[in-house]
Amino acid sequence: MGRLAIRKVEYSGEKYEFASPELPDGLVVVEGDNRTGKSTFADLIFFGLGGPVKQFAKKGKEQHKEITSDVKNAVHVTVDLNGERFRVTRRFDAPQDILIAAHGDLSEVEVLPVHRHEGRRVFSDWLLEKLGIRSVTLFVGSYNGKLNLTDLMRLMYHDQDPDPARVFMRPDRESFVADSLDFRRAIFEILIGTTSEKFYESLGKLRMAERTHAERQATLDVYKNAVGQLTPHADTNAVFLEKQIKDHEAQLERLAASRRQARKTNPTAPSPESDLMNMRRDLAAHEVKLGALERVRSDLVTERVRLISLEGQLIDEVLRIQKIIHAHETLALFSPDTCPCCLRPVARAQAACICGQPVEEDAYQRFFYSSDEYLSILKSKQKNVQTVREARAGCELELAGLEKRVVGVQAASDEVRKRMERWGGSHGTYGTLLEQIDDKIVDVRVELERLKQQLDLEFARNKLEQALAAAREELERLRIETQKLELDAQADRVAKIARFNAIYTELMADTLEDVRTVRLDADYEPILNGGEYREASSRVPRRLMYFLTLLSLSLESDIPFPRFLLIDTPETAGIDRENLSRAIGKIAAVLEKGTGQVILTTGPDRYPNQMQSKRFVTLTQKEKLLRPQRTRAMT
Amino acid sequence: MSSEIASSHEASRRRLMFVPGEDFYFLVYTTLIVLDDLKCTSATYEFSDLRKIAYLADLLGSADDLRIALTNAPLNQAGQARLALLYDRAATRRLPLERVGDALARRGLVTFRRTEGEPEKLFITDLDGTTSLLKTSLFDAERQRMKRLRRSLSHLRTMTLATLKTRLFADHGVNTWGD
Repeated sequence: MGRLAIRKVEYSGEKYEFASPELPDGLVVVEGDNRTGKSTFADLIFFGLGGPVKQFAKKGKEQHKEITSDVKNAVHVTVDLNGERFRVTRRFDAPQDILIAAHGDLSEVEVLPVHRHEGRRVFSDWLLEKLGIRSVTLFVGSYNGKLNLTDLMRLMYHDQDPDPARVFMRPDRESFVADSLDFRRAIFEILIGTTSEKFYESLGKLRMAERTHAERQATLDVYKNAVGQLTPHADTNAVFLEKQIKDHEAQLERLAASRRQARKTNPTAPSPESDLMNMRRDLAAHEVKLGALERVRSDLVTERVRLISLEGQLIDEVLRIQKIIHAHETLALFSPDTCPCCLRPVARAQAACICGQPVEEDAYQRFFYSSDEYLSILKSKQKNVQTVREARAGCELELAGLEKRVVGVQAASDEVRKRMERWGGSHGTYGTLLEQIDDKIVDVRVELERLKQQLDLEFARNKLEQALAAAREELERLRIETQKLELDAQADRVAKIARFNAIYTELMADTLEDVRTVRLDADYEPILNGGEYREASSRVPRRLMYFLTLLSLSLESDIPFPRFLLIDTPETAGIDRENLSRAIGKIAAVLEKGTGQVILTTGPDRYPNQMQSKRFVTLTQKEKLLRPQRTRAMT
Repeated sequence: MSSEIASSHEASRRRLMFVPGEDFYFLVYTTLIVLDDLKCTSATYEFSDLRKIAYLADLLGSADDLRIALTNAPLNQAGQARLALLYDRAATRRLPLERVGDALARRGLVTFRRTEGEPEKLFITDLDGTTSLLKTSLFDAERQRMKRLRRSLSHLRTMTLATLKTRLFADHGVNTWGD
């Protein structure tokens, strides 16, 4: 199977730089005091392989000041993947991509994204391909996603976890998905090679089928509930509903036949409906006629009022003219020869104007009226009065005729109303029988419509039931298939886990004196001495030996674990120096089994003296990992 | 023939041009009815300001117009418009009325007394002439309306023109104009 080895780690930036020497197979010790850059060395490797490192982000409280303040900086990791050498580069200002260059061949350059988006091929896919590890898709709840290298690194990168009770390195994001049991089990099983792509594909389908089944069950429940509230007899199935519909249709046909028969029995008799319609039509015609007559009457009344008013005015004028004539005859104050300006009498000659100019007597413009003229005007006005009186009489005559017509039409309208009222009370047995049949037809039609609607609802429910049954069948099939694949892998897994337990027990027993047995539970978590051993000081060896056991297993058998460990200073959880040194000493012992690589960062005098020759990088307070550019020093 | 036609046309035109409310005799008998009703028949009982009669003429000629002018109730829009029309007609009647007054004075029917700075005053001097005119029942309606006016407008005889215009028109919302 595949193998991963780190050959060189470099950092370049405008302010700082670092370049490791060539790192060989076997144990590689990076020694340094506190705060000299040991963890940064491990983090640079993890970051270079696409891992997330919080301290390298420019946001957050725990920033790595030298790196986040540097510019144009990048980490370059030279790796051997199954014997092929590549140099991968990840920039800190563009961490979303990684540049891959084949060693010695600059033409083979590829840039791949770190994060998965819309099914794109990512850096992890490339690296796992090179290692011969097939990435699988996992389904957890509504989430599904492929396992990445950074997921597998959780059992390859032994970081400085403040709580080493957890064997698996913390995921980059704490979530129930990334840290779920399914994910952790998958990581372990993939690394020891006891599972297949088919199993996880089947498992994924099983999870999807479970979800589909649950959704369809919920849909059906909601539908049943809604239909139950809408229809009172929702329990009746489609077969019975169809039978009821046929019965009602037959009843409808019988009623139609009865109606035809009733019509034949008395074919000449008008139907009550037609009577009523005729009466309504008559009534409407009368009302229209009445409206028109009312409008004409209104016009005539207005005309009569105007004529009366005009007659009154004319009579007033006649009376006034009579008074004027009387005044003229009594006083004779003015004559045609009176001056129109001062009203004084003027001695005007015949055929001359009052100013003396000659003028024809007939053409002389008089300003006053003579008695004859007053009388002529009076007669004219009296004639006008007579004319208006005649007009008024004609108008009143017309109005009287109109009134008679209105009365006649009103009477006819009232008669129709009375007939309608009588019709509403009783209209013969024939009408009653037909009405009864019609009422029954309406009732049956309403019921028939309701049954058809219910049948439609039942068909829709059947479809949902069928969809649910199909989902249930698919779920069962996938469950069996997954179980079968699981069983197929189980025999191999049992053997490998037995071997894992044996190696793990041996390593732990050699490290901690009171540990006798170690085994993995169903979730691949270690149980020491049957669960009785719970010393806090055992946590570091427990986790470290777990990682070493995986390495050991990969060195003695062909499993996907890439025979590589990155161990960052395991000094937490109160482990004493002797036990720590003993635990670290086991690394060299494990590596004697075969070719692999373990990069260990640790403090001075924290590991056995015989491992001093494996120290390839030494960091001190003066010679820290990241050095200012001008020094260009190299260890 | 053409002369007859022309004469007929002229007669028709003069008939059409005749307006009873603008005839001088209308103003003559109205003036005498007012003076007679108010007993202005001597210098001690004069009627003050002839112009007032111009504003009374239409009210004496029409019962409807008199009712509008004397009502105590607020007038509607049509009533106000009618009253405004009567006011305008009265204003244009003032000059012809003065000439009629002069004509009556020349005939000796009335006498005017004019004092500088005061409105002219007049009274009937020819009682027989006046009586012979007004004794007919033709003027009964006008006499009845004059009584109503007299009762409604106390001191009508001595009342100033401005007070009369206010009582009859301005109090009913009509804009009055002129002296």
